[in-house]
Amino acid sequence: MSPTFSLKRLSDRLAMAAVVVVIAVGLVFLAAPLLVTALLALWNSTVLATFSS
Amino acid sequence: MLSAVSVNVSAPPRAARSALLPIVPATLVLACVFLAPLLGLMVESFREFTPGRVGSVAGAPFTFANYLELASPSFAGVLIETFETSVAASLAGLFIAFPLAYCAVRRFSPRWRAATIGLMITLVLLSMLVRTYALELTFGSVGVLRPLLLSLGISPTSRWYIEGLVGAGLLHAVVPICTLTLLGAVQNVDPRLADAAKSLGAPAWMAHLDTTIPLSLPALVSAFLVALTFSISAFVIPMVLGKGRVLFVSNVIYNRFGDVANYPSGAAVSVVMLGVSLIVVYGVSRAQRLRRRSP
Repeated sequence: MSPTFSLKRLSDRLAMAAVVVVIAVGLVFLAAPLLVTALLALWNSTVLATFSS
Repeated sequence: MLSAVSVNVSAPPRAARSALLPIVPATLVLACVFLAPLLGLMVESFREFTPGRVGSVAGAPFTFANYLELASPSFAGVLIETFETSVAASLAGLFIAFPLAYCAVRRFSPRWRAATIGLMITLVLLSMLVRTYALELTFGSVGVLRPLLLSLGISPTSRWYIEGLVGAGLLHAVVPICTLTLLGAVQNVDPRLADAAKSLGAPAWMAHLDTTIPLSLPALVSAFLVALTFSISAFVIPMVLGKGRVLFVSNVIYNRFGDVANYPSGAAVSVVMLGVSLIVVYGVSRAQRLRRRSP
């Protein structure tokens, strides 16, 4: 075992990583549907503009 | 002396009574606006329904048939599904909202904090219909993720996927509400307590488990109750994302009132739903109060 290895530091890092993953997944889950809808609307308006011109 | 004491003793109730006077008009308005319709709903729930009519006939006889009808396994299934999905979504919402609220208050830079809180407020103020269709367009059977789901062997029209989608819809609605509810409570928890625990050798996660979470418990319970009451009364989410295959009690109430025009049955379902919700909310609040009292 390396002398710098610390179980406490490892558990802290793992817990921090878990929290970061939860927050990132949460924010992506909240924002993604709205972004997808906005992009679809934008794409749809572009397609409509192409057909109508 | 004695009379002075008696005057002093009788003074507080009189002061309290005069302090109650200003709230009398508001109480009367609330009684008329909220209690009277509820009373009408209760009376209607005991009326006999004649098929082919809209609502009960004037002066229809009273009966328990509308309540006995709800003892059927199909209605119990709807009630259980409503509560199961709502409790799961509320707990998952807290699981995401608490770290989000904590980091927004303690860890994020001012710009990220403003962006996070702004996103939450935007989501709360955005129309539920828009958010639900946004979810349908992303994760639904016609959504942009459909090819990916099919390539993974997941059918977007399968029963379990639709149930999960309804749960995801509730989660999407509940996370911003829980986060905004928890922000103030997390802000009020003294960060020096966790720092003290860490300085005594506790890992950071254990320091938070022992200080931040217990001190935020009343707010967590409040956020859970808000999320639960929102979820069990959700109507648009199960209707749009559930596609008629996942029914919540609110959808059954709508069907009885709107499609069948069986007002007494719809009223009975509403009363049962109200009663069960009140019991659950009272039970959770009572458990929290007892826990606070115990040493």
